[in-house]
Amino acid sequence: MASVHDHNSNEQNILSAHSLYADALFRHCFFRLYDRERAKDAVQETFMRTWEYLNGGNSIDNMRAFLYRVANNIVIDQVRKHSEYSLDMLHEKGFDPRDDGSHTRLESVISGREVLQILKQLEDSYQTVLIMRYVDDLMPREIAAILGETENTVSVRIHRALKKAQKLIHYA
Amino acid sequence: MHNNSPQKKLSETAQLIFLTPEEKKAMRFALQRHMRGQSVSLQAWRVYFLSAMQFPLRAAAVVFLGIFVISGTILYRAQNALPGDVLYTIKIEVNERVWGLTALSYESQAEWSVERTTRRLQELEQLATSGTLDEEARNEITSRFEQQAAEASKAIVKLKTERMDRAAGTSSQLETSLRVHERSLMQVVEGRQDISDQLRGILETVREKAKNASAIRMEIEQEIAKTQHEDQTSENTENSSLEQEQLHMNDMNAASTTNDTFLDNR
Repeated sequence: MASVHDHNSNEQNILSAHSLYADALFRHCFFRLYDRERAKDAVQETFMRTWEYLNGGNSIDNMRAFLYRVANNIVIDQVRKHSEYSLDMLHEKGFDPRDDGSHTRLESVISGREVLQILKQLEDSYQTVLIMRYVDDLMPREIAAILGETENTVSVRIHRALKKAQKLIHYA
Repeated sequence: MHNNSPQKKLSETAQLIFLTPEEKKAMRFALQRHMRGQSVSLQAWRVYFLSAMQFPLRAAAVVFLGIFVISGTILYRAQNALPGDVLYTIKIEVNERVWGLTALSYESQAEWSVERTTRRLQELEQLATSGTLDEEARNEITSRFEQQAAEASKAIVKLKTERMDRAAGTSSQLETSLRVHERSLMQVVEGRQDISDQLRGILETVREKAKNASAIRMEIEQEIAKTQHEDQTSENTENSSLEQEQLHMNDMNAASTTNDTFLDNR
Protein backbone atom coordinates (compact mmCIF):
# COMPACT_ATOMS: atom_id res chain seq x y z
CA MET A 1 0.00 0.00 0.00
CA ALA A 2 1.29 3.46 -0.82
CA SER A 3 2.38 5.67 2.08
CA VAL A 4 0.99 9.13 2.80
CA HIS A 5 4.17 10.60 1.35
CA ASP A 6 3.64 8.63 -1.86
CA HIS A 7 0.03 9.79 -1.99
CA ASN A 8 1.09 13.43 -1.84
CA SER A 9 3.76 12.92 -4.46
CA ASN A 10 1.33 11.02 -6.73
CA GLU A 11 -1.23 13.78 -6.30
CA GLN A 12 1.30 16.38 -7.40
CA ASN A 13 2.27 14.26 -10.43
CA ILE A 14 -1.33 13.86 -11.48
CA LEU A 15 -2.12 17.56 -11.08
CA SER A 16 0.94 18.57 -13.14
CA ALA A 17 -0.04 16.06 -15.80
CA HIS A 18 -3.55 17.51 -15.76
CA SER A 19 -2.21 21.00 -16.41
CA LEU A 20 -0.04 19.75 -19.27
CA TYR A 21 -2.19 17.19 -21.05
CA ALA A 22 -5.87 17.74 -20.17
CA ASP A 23 -6.55 19.81 -23.32
CA ALA A 24 -4.76 17.43 -25.65
CA LEU A 25 -6.51 14.41 -24.13
CA PHE A 26 -9.84 16.18 -24.39
CA ARG A 27 -9.26 16.79 -28.12
CA HIS A 28 -8.29 13.17 -28.61
CA CYS A 29 -11.46 11.94 -26.89
CA PHE A 30 -13.68 14.50 -28.62
CA PHE A 31 -12.51 13.41 -32.09
CA ARG A 32 -13.55 9.84 -31.26
CA LEU A 33 -16.73 10.39 -29.23
CA TYR A 34 -18.18 13.51 -30.96
CA ASP A 35 -19.62 14.61 -27.63
CA ARG A 36 -18.09 17.33 -25.51
CA GLU A 37 -19.49 16.12 -22.17
CA ARG A 38 -18.57 12.50 -22.77
CA ALA A 39 -15.10 13.57 -23.86
CA LYS A 40 -14.70 15.49 -20.60
CA ASP A 41 -15.85 12.45 -18.62
CA ALA A 42 -13.36 10.28 -20.48
CA VAL A 43 -10.54 12.67 -19.63
CA GLN A 44 -11.53 12.69 -15.96
CA GLU A 45 -11.71 8.92 -15.94
CA THR A 46 -8.25 8.78 -17.51
CA PHE A 47 -6.69 10.82 -14.73
CA MET A 48 -8.53 8.90 -12.00
CA ARG A 49 -7.41 5.54 -13.35
CA THR A 50 -3.85 6.79 -13.62
CA TRP A 51 -4.01 8.01 -10.02
CA GLU A 52 -5.27 4.62 -8.88
CA TYR A 53 -2.52 2.91 -10.85
CA LEU A 54 0.13 5.04 -9.13
CA ASN A 55 -1.45 4.43 -5.75
CA GLY A 56 -1.24 0.70 -6.33
CA GLY A 57 2.53 1.14 -5.92
CA ASN A 58 3.26 1.22 -9.66
CA SER A 59 5.48 3.74 -11.41
CA ILE A 60 5.05 5.42 -14.79
CA ASP A 61 8.09 6.20 -16.95
CA ASN A 62 6.36 8.18 -19.68
CA MET A 63 3.31 9.95 -18.29
CA ARG A 64 2.14 11.36 -21.62
CA ALA A 65 2.22 7.98 -23.38
CA PHE A 66 0.57 6.31 -20.39
CA LEU A 67 -2.28 8.84 -20.31
CA TYR A 68 -2.93 8.42 -24.02
CA ARG A 69 -2.98 4.65 -23.65
CA VAL A 70 -5.51 4.84 -20.83
CA ALA A 71 -7.61 7.43 -22.67
CA ASN A 72 -7.55 5.34 -25.83
CA ASN A 73 -8.78 2.27 -23.93
CA ILE A 74 -11.57 4.28 -22.29
CA VAL A 75 -12.66 5.68 -25.64
CA ILE A 76 -12.65 2.22 -27.26
CA ASP A 77 -14.80 0.89 -24.38
CA GLN A 78 -17.21 3.82 -24.72
CA VAL A 79 -17.50 3.42 -28.49
CA ARG A 80 -18.20 -0.30 -28.06
CA LYS A 81 -20.77 0.28 -25.33
CA HIS A 82 -22.52 3.16 -27.07
CA SER A 83 -22.84 2.33 -30.73
CA GLU A 84 -25.03 5.44 -31.06
CA TYR A 85 -21.95 7.67 -31.30
CA SER A 86 -22.30 9.02 -34.77
CA LEU A 87 -22.17 12.10 -36.87
CA ASP A 88 -25.97 12.26 -36.68
CA MET A 89 -25.52 12.93 -33.00
CA LEU A 90 -22.95 15.57 -33.81
CA HIS A 91 -25.41 17.23 -36.14
CA GLU A 92 -28.10 17.15 -33.46
CA LYS A 93 -25.82 18.58 -30.79
CA GLY A 94 -23.96 20.78 -33.20
CA PHE A 95 -20.24 20.99 -33.65
CA ASP A 96 -19.61 22.59 -30.33
CA PRO A 97 -16.30 24.39 -30.08
CA ARG A 98 -16.11 26.96 -27.30
CA ASP A 99 -15.89 30.57 -28.47
CA ASP A 100 -12.77 32.15 -27.05
CA GLY A 101 -13.14 35.19 -29.30
CA SER A 102 -10.23 34.36 -31.57
CA HIS A 103 -10.50 30.88 -33.04
CA THR A 104 -14.12 30.33 -33.88
CA ARG A 105 -15.26 31.43 -37.25
CA LEU A 106 -18.21 30.11 -39.22
CA GLU A 107 -15.99 28.78 -41.99
CA SER A 108 -13.84 26.93 -39.52
CA VAL A 109 -16.88 25.33 -37.90
CA ILE A 110 -18.18 24.18 -41.28
CA SER A 111 -14.73 22.87 -42.17
CA GLY A 112 -14.53 21.10 -38.81
CA ARG A 113 -17.77 19.25 -39.51
CA GLU A 114 -16.47 18.15 -42.89
CA VAL A 115 -13.27 16.86 -41.34
CA LEU A 116 -15.17 14.84 -38.76
CA GLN A 117 -17.46 13.47 -41.45
CA ILE A 118 -14.45 12.32 -43.45
CA LEU A 119 -12.79 10.92 -40.36
CA LYS A 120 -15.90 8.97 -39.51
CA GLN A 121 -15.80 7.23 -42.87
CA LEU A 122 -12.37 5.79 -42.14
CA GLU A 123 -11.72 2.50 -40.34
CA ASP A 124 -11.15 2.77 -36.58
CA SER A 125 -7.45 2.00 -36.85
CA TYR A 126 -7.00 4.78 -39.45
CA GLN A 127 -9.00 7.26 -37.36
CA THR A 128 -6.87 6.50 -34.31
CA VAL A 129 -3.50 7.08 -35.98
CA LEU A 130 -4.64 10.23 -37.82
CA ILE A 131 -6.02 11.76 -34.64
CA MET A 132 -2.90 10.86 -32.70
CA ARG A 133 -0.60 12.20 -35.40
CA TYR A 134 -2.36 15.41 -36.49
CA VAL A 135 -4.67 16.27 -33.60
CA ASP A 136 -2.53 15.14 -30.68
CA ASP A 137 0.68 15.93 -32.53
CA LEU A 138 2.35 12.71 -31.45
CA MET A 139 5.32 11.29 -33.34
CA PRO A 140 4.96 7.82 -34.96
CA ARG A 141 7.40 6.49 -32.36
CA GLU A 142 5.11 7.69 -29.54
CA ILE A 143 1.99 6.40 -31.27
CA ALA A 144 3.69 3.03 -31.68
CA ALA A 145 4.49 2.95 -27.95
CA ILE A 146 0.91 3.80 -27.02
CA LEU A 147 -0.69 1.28 -29.37
CA GLY A 148 1.90 -1.39 -28.71
CA GLU A 149 2.91 -1.67 -32.36
CA THR A 150 6.07 -1.02 -34.34
CA GLU A 151 6.95 2.45 -35.57
CA ASN A 152 7.05 1.15 -39.14
CA THR A 153 3.51 -0.26 -38.91
CA VAL A 154 2.24 3.05 -37.55
CA SER A 155 3.98 5.07 -40.30
CA VAL A 156 2.51 2.83 -43.01
CA ARG A 157 -0.93 3.08 -41.46
CA ILE A 158 -0.74 6.88 -41.28
CA HIS A 159 0.30 6.99 -44.93
CA ARG A 160 -2.59 4.74 -46.01
CA ALA A 161 -5.07 6.64 -43.86
CA LEU A 162 -3.99 9.95 -45.42
CA LYS A 163 -4.35 8.56 -48.93
CA LYS A 164 -7.84 7.33 -48.17
CA ALA A 165 -8.82 10.61 -46.50
CA GLN A 166 -7.45 12.51 -49.50
CA LYS A 167 -9.66 10.47 -51.81
CA LEU A 168 -12.71 11.13 -49.66
CA ILE A 169 -11.98 14.87 -49.65
CA HIS A 170 -11.64 14.77 -53.40
CA TYR A 171 -15.04 13.07 -53.83
CA ALA A 172 -16.73 15.28 -51.25
CA MET B 1 1.63 20.63 -47.16
CA HIS B 2 -1.27 21.12 -49.55
CA ASN B 3 -3.98 23.55 -48.38
CA ASN B 4 -6.65 20.95 -48.87
CA SER B 5 -4.66 18.10 -47.31
CA PRO B 6 -6.40 16.03 -44.63
CA GLN B 7 -3.58 16.59 -42.17
CA LYS B 8 -3.93 20.36 -42.49
CA LYS B 9 -7.69 20.13 -42.11
CA LEU B 10 -7.32 17.92 -39.05
CA SER B 11 -4.81 20.25 -37.44
CA GLU B 12 -6.98 23.28 -38.14
CA THR B 13 -10.06 21.55 -36.73
CA ALA B 14 -8.10 20.47 -33.67
CA GLN B 15 -7.44 24.13 -32.93
CA LEU B 16 -11.18 24.60 -32.50
CA ILE B 17 -11.44 21.96 -29.81
CA PHE B 18 -10.26 22.94 -26.35
CA LEU B 19 -11.43 23.10 -22.78
CA THR B 20 -12.48 26.50 -21.49
CA PRO B 21 -10.51 27.71 -18.45
CA GLU B 22 -13.65 27.21 -16.32
CA GLU B 23 -14.07 23.64 -17.50
CA LYS B 24 -10.45 22.84 -16.88
CA LYS B 25 -10.59 24.38 -13.43
CA ALA B 26 -13.73 22.44 -12.53
CA MET B 27 -12.19 19.19 -13.75
CA ARG B 28 -9.00 19.82 -11.79
CA PHE B 29 -11.01 20.57 -8.67
CA ALA B 30 -13.07 17.38 -9.03
CA LEU B 31 -9.91 15.36 -9.57
CA GLN B 32 -8.25 16.90 -6.55
CA ARG B 33 -11.29 16.18 -4.41
CA HIS B 34 -11.31 12.56 -5.58
CA MET B 35 -7.62 12.14 -4.73
CA ARG B 36 -7.89 13.94 -1.39
CA GLY B 37 -10.81 11.72 -0.41
CA GLN B 38 -8.60 8.66 -0.73
CA SER B 39 -5.64 10.31 0.98
CA VAL B 40 -7.79 11.37 3.91
CA SER B 41 -9.02 7.83 4.47
CA LEU B 42 -5.44 6.52 4.34
CA GLN B 43 -4.24 9.14 6.78
CA ALA B 44 -7.12 8.40 9.12
CA TRP B 45 -6.14 4.73 9.13
CA ARG B 46 -2.52 5.52 9.99
CA VAL B 47 -3.46 8.03 12.64
CA TYR B 48 -5.76 5.53 14.29
CA PHE B 49 -3.24 2.72 14.42
CA LEU B 50 -0.01 4.61 15.02
CA SER B 51 -0.78 7.84 16.81
CA ALA B 52 -4.05 7.41 18.65
CA MET B 53 -3.02 4.03 20.02
CA GLN B 54 -1.41 4.69 23.37
CA PHE B 55 1.39 2.57 24.78
CA PRO B 56 -0.69 0.30 27.08
CA LEU B 57 -3.07 -0.43 24.23
CA ARG B 58 -0.18 -1.15 21.85
CA ALA B 59 1.49 -3.39 24.44
CA ALA B 60 -1.77 -5.27 24.97
CA ALA B 61 -2.15 -5.70 21.23
CA VAL B 62 1.39 -7.08 20.94
CA VAL B 63 0.83 -9.48 23.85
CA PHE B 64 -2.47 -10.61 22.42
CA LEU B 65 -0.89 -11.16 19.02
CA GLY B 66 1.97 -13.11 20.63
CA ILE B 67 -0.42 -15.34 22.56
CA PHE B 68 -2.47 -15.89 19.43
CA VAL B 69 0.58 -16.90 17.38
CA ILE B 70 2.07 -19.17 20.07
CA SER B 71 -1.20 -20.94 20.86
CA GLY B 72 -1.92 -21.34 17.16
CA THR B 73 1.48 -22.98 16.66
CA ILE B 74 0.97 -25.30 19.65
CA LEU B 75 -2.48 -26.36 18.48
CA TYR B 76 -1.17 -26.97 14.98
CA ARG B 77 1.76 -29.07 16.19
CA ALA B 78 -0.46 -30.99 18.62
CA GLN B 79 -2.51 -32.18 15.67
CA ASN B 80 0.09 -34.86 14.86
CA ALA B 81 0.99 -35.78 18.45
CA LEU B 82 0.96 -39.43 19.56
CA PRO B 83 0.34 -40.95 23.03
CA GLY B 84 3.41 -40.28 25.16
CA ASP B 85 4.06 -36.89 23.50
CA VAL B 86 3.74 -33.74 25.60
CA LEU B 87 1.20 -32.29 23.18
CA TYR B 88 -1.03 -35.38 23.02
CA THR B 89 -3.19 -34.17 25.91
CA ILE B 90 -3.75 -30.88 24.04
CA LYS B 91 -4.71 -32.83 20.92
CA ILE B 92 -7.32 -34.85 22.84
CA GLU B 93 -8.54 -32.30 25.37
CA VAL B 94 -8.42 -29.12 23.30
CA ASN B 95 -8.29 -29.77 19.54
CA GLU B 96 -10.69 -32.69 19.47
CA ARG B 97 -13.05 -31.23 22.05
CA VAL B 98 -13.29 -27.96 20.13
CA TRP B 99 -13.77 -29.85 16.90
CA GLY B 100 -16.52 -31.89 18.58
CA LEU B 101 -18.25 -28.71 19.74
CA THR B 102 -18.37 -27.40 16.17
CA ALA B 103 -20.26 -30.50 15.05
CA LEU B 104 -23.81 -29.30 15.63
CA SER B 105 -26.03 -31.55 13.54
CA TYR B 106 -26.54 -35.27 14.21
CA GLU B 107 -24.90 -35.96 10.87
CA SER B 108 -21.70 -34.02 11.58
CA GLN B 109 -21.57 -35.46 15.12
CA ALA B 110 -21.73 -38.99 13.72
CA GLU B 111 -19.10 -38.24 11.07
CA TRP B 112 -16.80 -36.67 13.63
CA SER B 113 -17.14 -39.62 16.04
CA VAL B 114 -16.20 -42.02 13.24
CA GLU B 115 -13.21 -39.85 12.35
CA ARG B 116 -12.08 -39.71 15.98
CA THR B 117 -12.34 -43.48 16.40
CA THR B 118 -10.26 -43.98 13.25
CA ARG B 119 -7.60 -41.59 14.57
CA ARG B 120 -7.01 -43.79 17.64
CA LEU B 121 -6.35 -46.81 15.47
CA GLN B 122 -4.00 -44.78 13.26
CA GLU B 123 -2.07 -43.71 16.36
CA LEU B 124 -1.84 -47.30 17.51
CA GLU B 125 -0.51 -48.42 14.13
CA GLN B 126 2.04 -45.59 14.01
CA LEU B 127 3.38 -46.45 17.46
CA ALA B 128 3.41 -50.18 16.76
CA THR B 129 5.26 -49.88 13.45
CA SER B 130 7.80 -47.42 14.88
CA GLY B 131 8.44 -49.75 17.83
CA THR B 132 7.53 -47.15 20.46
CA LEU B 133 4.31 -48.74 21.69
CA ASP B 134 4.57 -49.29 25.42
CA GLU B 135 1.98 -50.66 27.81
CA GLU B 136 0.86 -47.27 29.03
CA ALA B 137 0.25 -45.95 25.51
CA ARG B 138 -1.51 -49.17 24.50
CA ASN B 139 -3.85 -49.01 27.50
CA GLU B 140 -4.58 -45.36 26.89
CA ILE B 141 -5.41 -45.92 23.22
CA THR B 142 -7.45 -49.05 23.91
CA SER B 143 -9.51 -47.32 26.54
CA ARG B 144 -10.15 -44.26 24.34
CA PHE B 145 -10.89 -46.43 21.31
CA GLU B 146 -13.50 -48.48 23.15
CA GLN B 147 -15.17 -45.40 24.52
CA GLN B 148 -15.12 -43.50 21.22
CA ALA B 149 -16.28 -46.46 19.13
CA ALA B 150 -19.26 -46.82 21.48
CA GLU B 151 -19.96 -43.08 21.11
CA ALA B 152 -19.76 -43.42 17.32
CA SER B 153 -22.37 -46.22 17.38
CA LYS B 154 -24.63 -44.11 19.59
CA ALA B 155 -24.23 -41.10 17.26
CA ILE B 156 -25.18 -43.25 14.26
CA VAL B 157 -28.27 -44.57 16.03
CA LYS B 158 -29.21 -40.98 16.87
CA LEU B 159 -28.69 -39.93 13.26
CA LYS B 160 -30.96 -42.77 12.15
CA THR B 161 -33.93 -41.00 13.72
CA GLU B 162 -33.26 -37.96 11.54
CA ARG B 163 -31.69 -39.19 8.28
CA MET B 164 -31.89 -42.92 7.70
CA ASP B 165 -29.87 -42.80 4.45
CA ARG B 166 -27.07 -40.74 6.01
CA ALA B 167 -26.97 -43.05 9.02
CA ALA B 168 -26.55 -46.03 6.67
CA GLY B 169 -23.67 -44.24 4.92
CA THR B 170 -21.91 -43.29 8.16
CA SER B 171 -22.28 -46.74 9.70
CA SER B 172 -20.88 -48.25 6.51
CA GLN B 173 -17.98 -45.79 6.76
CA LEU B 174 -17.29 -46.84 10.36
CA GLU B 175 -17.46 -50.52 9.49
CA THR B 176 -15.11 -50.12 6.50
CA SER B 177 -12.64 -48.09 8.52
CA LEU B 178 -12.60 -50.68 11.33
CA ARG B 179 -12.15 -53.56 8.87
CA VAL B 180 -9.27 -51.76 7.14
CA HIS B 181 -7.50 -51.08 10.42
CA GLU B 182 -8.19 -54.61 11.59
CA ARG B 183 -6.26 -55.87 8.54
CA SER B 184 -3.44 -53.39 9.11
CA LEU B 185 -3.14 -54.46 12.74
CA MET B 186 -3.07 -58.12 11.72
CA GLN B 187 -0.16 -57.34 9.43
CA VAL B 188 1.64 -55.59 12.28
CA VAL B 189 0.94 -58.56 14.59
CA GLU B 190 2.39 -60.93 11.97
CA GLY B 191 5.41 -58.72 11.30
CA ARG B 192 6.28 -57.80 14.88
CA GLN B 193 6.42 -60.94 16.99
CA ASP B 194 7.81 -58.95 19.93
CA ILE B 195 4.63 -56.93 20.42
CA SER B 196 2.11 -59.31 18.89
CA ASP B 197 0.82 -60.35 22.32
CA GLN B 198 0.23 -56.72 23.24
CA LEU B 199 -1.75 -56.13 20.07
CA ARG B 200 -3.89 -59.24 20.05
CA GLY B 201 -6.15 -57.88 22.77
CA ILE B 202 -6.91 -54.65 20.97
CA LEU B 203 -7.24 -56.51 17.66
CA GLU B 204 -10.06 -58.54 19.23
CA THR B 205 -11.69 -55.31 20.39
CA VAL B 206 -11.48 -53.85 16.87
CA ARG B 207 -13.07 -57.01 15.42
CA GLU B 208 -15.86 -56.85 17.95
CA LYS B 209 -16.51 -53.18 17.20
CA ALA B 210 -16.47 -53.89 13.46
CA LYS B 211 -19.11 -56.60 14.00
CA ASN B 212 -21.24 -54.17 16.01
CA ALA B 213 -20.91 -51.55 13.25
CA SER B 214 -21.87 -54.18 10.69
CA ALA B 215 -24.93 -55.14 12.74
CA ILE B 216 -26.00 -51.49 12.99
CA ARG B 217 -25.55 -51.02 9.25
CA MET B 218 -27.60 -54.12 8.42
CA GLU B 219 -30.33 -53.06 10.81
CA ILE B 220 -30.52 -49.62 9.19
CA GLU B 221 -30.54 -51.12 5.69
CA GLN B 222 -33.38 -53.45 6.68
CA GLU B 223 -35.35 -50.53 8.04
CA ILE B 224 -34.79 -48.60 4.82
CA ALA B 225 -35.95 -51.60 2.77
CA LYS B 226 -39.01 -52.01 4.99
CA THR B 227 -39.92 -48.33 4.69
CA GLN B 228 -39.58 -48.50 0.92
CA HIS B 229 -41.80 -51.59 0.80
CA GLU B 230 -44.45 -49.89 2.95
CA ASP B 231 -44.38 -46.82 0.75
CA GLN B 232 -44.82 -48.99 -2.34
CA THR B 233 -47.74 -50.89 -0.79
CA SER B 234 -49.42 -47.70 0.31
CA GLU B 235 -48.97 -46.22 -3.16
CA ASN B 236 -50.48 -49.34 -4.78
CA THR B 237 -53.47 -49.23 -2.41
CA GLU B 238 -53.99 -45.59 -3.19
CA ASN B 239 -53.82 -46.22 -6.94
CA SER B 240 -56.26 -49.08 -6.62
CA SER B 241 -58.80 -46.97 -4.71
CA LEU B 242 -58.40 -44.20 -7.25
CA GLU B 243 -59.12 -46.64 -10.07
CA GLN B 244 -62.25 -47.89 -8.26
CA GLU B 245 -63.40 -44.37 -7.74
CA GLN B 246 -62.86 -43.63 -11.42
CA LEU B 247 -64.89 -46.71 -12.41
CA HIS B 248 -67.67 -45.62 -10.09
CA MET B 249 -67.68 -42.15 -11.63
CA ASN B 250 -67.85 -43.67 -15.11
CA ASP B 251 -70.89 -45.78 -14.08
CA MET B 252 -72.58 -42.68 -12.66
CA ASN B 253 -71.97 -40.74 -15.86
CA ALA B 254 -73.35 -43.58 -17.99
CA ALA B 255 -76.49 -43.76 -15.84
CA SER B 256 -76.98 -40.03 -16.09
CA THR B 257 -76.65 -40.14 -19.91
CA THR B 258 -79.26 -42.95 -20.09
CA ASN B 259 -81.69 -40.91 -17.96
CA ASP B 260 -81.20 -37.84 -20.14
CA THR B 261 -81.87 -39.85 -23.32
CA PHE B 262 -85.01 -41.36 -21.75
CA LEU B 263 -86.32 -37.93 -20.77
CA ASP B 264 -85.56 -36.51 -24.22
CA ASN B 265 -87.50 -39.32 -25.88
CA ARG B 266 -90.42 -38.66 -23.63
